[in-house]
Amino acid sequence: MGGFLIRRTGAALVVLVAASMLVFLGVRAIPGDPAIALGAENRDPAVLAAVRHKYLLDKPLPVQYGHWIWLALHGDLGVDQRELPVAHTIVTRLPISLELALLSMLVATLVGLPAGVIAAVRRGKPSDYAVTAVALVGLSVPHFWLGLLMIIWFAVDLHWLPASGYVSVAHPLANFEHMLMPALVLGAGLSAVLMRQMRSSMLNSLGADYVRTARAKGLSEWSVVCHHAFRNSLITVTTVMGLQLGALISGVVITETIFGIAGFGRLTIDAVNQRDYTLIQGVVLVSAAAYVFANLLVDVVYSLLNPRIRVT
Amino acid sequence: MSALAEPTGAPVVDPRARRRRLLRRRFLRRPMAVAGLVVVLAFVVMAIFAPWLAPFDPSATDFNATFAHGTARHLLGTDEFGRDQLSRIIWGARASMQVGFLSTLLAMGIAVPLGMVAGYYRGWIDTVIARVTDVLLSFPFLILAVGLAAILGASLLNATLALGISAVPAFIRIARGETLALREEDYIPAAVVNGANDATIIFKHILPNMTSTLLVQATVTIPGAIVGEAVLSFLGLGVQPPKPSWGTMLQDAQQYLSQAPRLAVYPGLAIVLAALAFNVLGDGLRDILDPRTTR
Repeated sequence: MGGFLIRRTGAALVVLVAASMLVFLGVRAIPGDPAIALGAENRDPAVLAAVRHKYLLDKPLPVQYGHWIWLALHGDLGVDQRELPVAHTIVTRLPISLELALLSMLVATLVGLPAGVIAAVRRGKPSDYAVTAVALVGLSVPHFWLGLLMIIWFAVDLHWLPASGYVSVAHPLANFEHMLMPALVLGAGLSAVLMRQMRSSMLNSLGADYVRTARAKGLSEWSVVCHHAFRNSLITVTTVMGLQLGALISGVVITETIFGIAGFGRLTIDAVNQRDYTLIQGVVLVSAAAYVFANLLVDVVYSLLNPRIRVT
Repeated sequence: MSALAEPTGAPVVDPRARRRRLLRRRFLRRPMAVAGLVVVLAFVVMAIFAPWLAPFDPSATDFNATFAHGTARHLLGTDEFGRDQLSRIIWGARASMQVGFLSTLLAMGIAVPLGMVAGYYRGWIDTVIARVTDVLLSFPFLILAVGLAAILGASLLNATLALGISAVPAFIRIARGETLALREEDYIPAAVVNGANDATIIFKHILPNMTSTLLVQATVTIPGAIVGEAVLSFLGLGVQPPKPSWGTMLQDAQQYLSQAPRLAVYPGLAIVLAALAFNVLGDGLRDILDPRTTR
């Protein structure tokens, strides 16, 4: 187990270093002179030279990269166009996105898991077809369109929920009102993925020998499904949820844009639209790091759930 | 030499033709998959013949008929500039299909040779390719596409490139995995004994045997790219207005949600219908091509 952990963590670190280089080079590949953008569009040569000096743009790339990473390791991601510290902006925006992500995963678990179990247990019956069809539609409906539709129905027509904005968790009720639609939108696609995965791994489990044994020794169908098949199906579902993290991060970006939530996702799009180089660099680095770390976590959890994987 | 082995009298059946006929029969027995194929073909026809099918010029404005409801003249109504929605959706299909098919082809063109080389030769080249794939996979799909769109600039072509490159890692993994499995098959040493070189083995013996897997992955990637294009255009990083695309139409519609909610409905329906058709078709293909999942 220890060896597996060390190997896996080492690989994640290598990937992260390479990803940081790619982010660094990618930002430098964006057309346009960063000095002009950083110097608030001032094209005076003296100002540009000062800006270049200040942001080390007059130094060779490896020096710039080393400097950036060294500061990043100390929690300093530089300042953006408005002279605000990037790290601080990210830290204030992240909890909002985390809340959205967690709520949507809650929605997905509450909807997707039971639906998948029902579809598997009633395989080939109308309820299976209904659930499977809804999931297929759920997979094909893009978040941003579902978001627009919900705004039309629940905000514009019915006036039940606010169309956009975010209220801090300090006001739980208002926070819930603002987060309900975004969480449902983001959770819908996840539920569909989860349901399909749950259905197929439940079908595998239900056909396994230990389920036949459980039935043969006279356990109730409820007990067979819940205690034997369901628990074993959760192993594959965990991995699939891990693989969905990327989709979750992408979904957060879109959902926050539609509902005007000033979270991490919205920050990413704003950074790209404003060509704010330090901000883009910081945001993409943090999302890659979060993604790599989360995948590492999934691998570790998976190896705890399924000891066979550690050997390979 | 094969003439000797052929039993006389029995009709000579090409095994490949027989397999094709079997697959066609299995496909036709799945109404959902057939329906998916029909809708996909309808969208492709719409994309190719957009100039002839669209009743109006998609960019033609008519300020006497802004926000018109559906009438015989404008079936799906008009937008804030009086542009015909139906025509814009038909032209939007062109952008969507173009991005869907071209980005998938691009991803396959880059990824399949790399994946096959990695899986066939293994060793250091496999390690290098696997690590690069890991690094690309360390960026969430949309973040990678948004980043690439930012580097390349916002346009339909660049959206295609960004989405194509973002789909490369998944294809590399699949091609590599398939090659690893296929190179252990008995017909590979047989081909080596026959004097085939590596290129012949990779392209004539391994590649044809993974086409069904690649095909299924493509039917997943194409709808992903169609939705991806809509998202990029919606965020202002893809097709630029006034050019018609389902994503830019939704972006425009967002400002008029209370005034003309219907503007947000039809382009979205088009996206869902296209993505759904590809997904259903893909599910059907997976079922008929993979004997393990047949019921």
